[in-house]
Amino acid sequence: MKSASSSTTFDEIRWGLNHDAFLDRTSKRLLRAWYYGARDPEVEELICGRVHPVRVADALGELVPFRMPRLHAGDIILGKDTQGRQVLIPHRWLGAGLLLAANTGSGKTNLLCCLLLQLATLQTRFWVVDLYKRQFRHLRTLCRRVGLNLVVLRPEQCRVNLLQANTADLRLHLAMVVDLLVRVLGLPPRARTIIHQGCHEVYRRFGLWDGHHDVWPTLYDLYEWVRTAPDLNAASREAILDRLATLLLSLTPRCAAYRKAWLAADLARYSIVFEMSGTSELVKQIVVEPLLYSLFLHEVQRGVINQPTRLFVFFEDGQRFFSTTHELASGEIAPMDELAGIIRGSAIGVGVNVQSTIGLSRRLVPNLATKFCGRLGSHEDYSSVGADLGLNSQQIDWWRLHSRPGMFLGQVAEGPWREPFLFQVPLLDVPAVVNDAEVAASVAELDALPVVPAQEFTHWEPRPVVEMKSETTTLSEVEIRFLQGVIKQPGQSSTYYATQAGLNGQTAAKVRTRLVDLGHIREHSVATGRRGRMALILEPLPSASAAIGTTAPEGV
Amino acid sequence: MRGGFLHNQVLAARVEHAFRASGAEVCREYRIVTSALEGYVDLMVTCGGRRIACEIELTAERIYWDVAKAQAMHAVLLLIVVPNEQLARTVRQKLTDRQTTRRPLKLSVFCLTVGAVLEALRNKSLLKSVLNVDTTLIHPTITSATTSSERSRPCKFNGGT
Repeated sequence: MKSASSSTTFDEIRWGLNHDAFLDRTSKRLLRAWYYGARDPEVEELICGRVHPVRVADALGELVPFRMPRLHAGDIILGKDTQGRQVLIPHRWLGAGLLLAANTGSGKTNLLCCLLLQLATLQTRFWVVDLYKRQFRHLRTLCRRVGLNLVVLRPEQCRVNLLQANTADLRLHLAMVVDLLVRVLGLPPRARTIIHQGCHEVYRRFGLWDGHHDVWPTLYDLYEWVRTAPDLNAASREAILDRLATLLLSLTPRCAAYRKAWLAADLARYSIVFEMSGTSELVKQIVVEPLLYSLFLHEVQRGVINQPTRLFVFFEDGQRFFSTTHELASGEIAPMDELAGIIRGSAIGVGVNVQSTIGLSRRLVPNLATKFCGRLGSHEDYSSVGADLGLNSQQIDWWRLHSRPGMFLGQVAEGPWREPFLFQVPLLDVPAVVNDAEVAASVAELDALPVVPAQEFTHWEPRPVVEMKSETTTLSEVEIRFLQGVIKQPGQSSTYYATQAGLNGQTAAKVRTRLVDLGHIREHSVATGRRGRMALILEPLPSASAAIGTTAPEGV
Repeated sequence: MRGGFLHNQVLAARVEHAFRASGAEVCREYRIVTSALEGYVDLMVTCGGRRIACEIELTAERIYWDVAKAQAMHAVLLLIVVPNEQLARTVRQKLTDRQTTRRPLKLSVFCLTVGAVLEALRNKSLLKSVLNVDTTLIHPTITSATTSSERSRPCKFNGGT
């Protein structure tokens, strides 16, 4: 090979460095020799010989347009790069938030299993919220080999109480509870006030404002308060009762009727798989969100700020859970988006596993700083993920054509290497040996946590709506005035009473209809004139006197 | 008075008050006892020495019984007061049907709504009719009313005065 001039050699070296042509030990020594001044033709020829095959591959379109990752230190193996070397990162880097985007069958669950098993080996706690599948339960057998008892928890086995605070600041907890209930149940604005008022009242009944934190009110207590409290706006009351009853029926008393339930801080000591398959979206949100919020508030109260991550929370198939449909209509940031951003400082890492970034809240992505991208299925996905990872058009096109199951494109949040890199994840063979009986047995470890059931709600059922209506028979001041007129001078026309009560015809008709419905008066159509429409003669009934607390006149 | 609120306090009370305002004497629940029947007339009105039987009806079921009572008490006029015009038409039709199948009545029968009665009493037209009836009678008894001149006059079933 003909020797190149010094300037040409320098260009070759620069190109070769940008395309990882000098990764082996010999190449590095050649470069060092050239830097030290050994610029003889032999050295230059050897250097060009290292670059030449890469040039040929580039000319043939076979060159991978990604740099080799300089990630060779850490306790988590992500996989192998294109040259078969291990890609390692410290496990604490996952605490900065992990976004794992890949379409179905591309191996994202396999990658997550690899990460979880390594976390288990490191005795680091993790929660996996398996929103649709039952795949992670089979990790229990493998986790047991490394001395970790993985708890698999179904929603009906949970012992939760939304009103039980894990922090001393009850008002802060109530703000979270009210916000969550109003948002999840889709309640009108006036209902928010009622829910807030109800929570304060049930807290007062249990002496929580006085510092007694032994037992807590439940959502069933809140339901009963809304049902029986007088003078609440009827429409808001019915909206709350209807939707809260649906929620409580979905949760079941076995799950939610506890005066003292599991605390998120206690659960953080365990590695848990939350199996949410077959559960309504309502229950998923009500169970998961408060746990994370309570944990966050608890850690903040403990003064844990920017500590190493001690709990990882992964959401498997979180497409719907984190979708933009949960964003608030007012344009405010959605709570889970907000939580993903602030929870890192409280030693909790969040990871989200999605099939597509379409529909995924864009406010969530910045807070999931470590990003792994597998095979995607649409141009929009490639463009979006490519932009987030800082890929150029050549890299995006290559990834679009060469992505395959098990191969991922990654970018880590911490450390000096921020270039996107490729890595291949080995396929795990996780035997499907964990059945429902073992799942139920795994929860036995949580039996040690103290709980106090609310016995009175064990067989709770929502009251029929008809009964709720019977509570609203209180007469308004106008109705009382109208009714007093009918009792005082019975047998007159409705127009007469409207005039006496100072009401216009439309209002008087509404009042009259309501009094008839309540059984206080009866209408008679009588032709009191020779022509024209018949008059409505009103007759007071015995209940009328009782309604306004007077003695019925004679003959009534 | 044997009736409900509408019967007693709305219809009967208004008609009674109107009769009294016209100068007539009114007796509530006037009892009639003859060999043939025994019963009560809601209002027995005495006006100018003549009797008017006034019955308050909410249905058309007891119309023939009302006629019999009015005849038994030798009333010159039977006034049937009903709450609405629909019922008044039903009553009139029933009386007309009776007229075609039985002997003609020997007294005038008016079936009016309460509004029409009150208006008639206000302008005295009803009482004038009573006087007209009275002038045709030789004796104020049911027997005397069976004169040829009276029998030949068709019984009056109308809705006005």
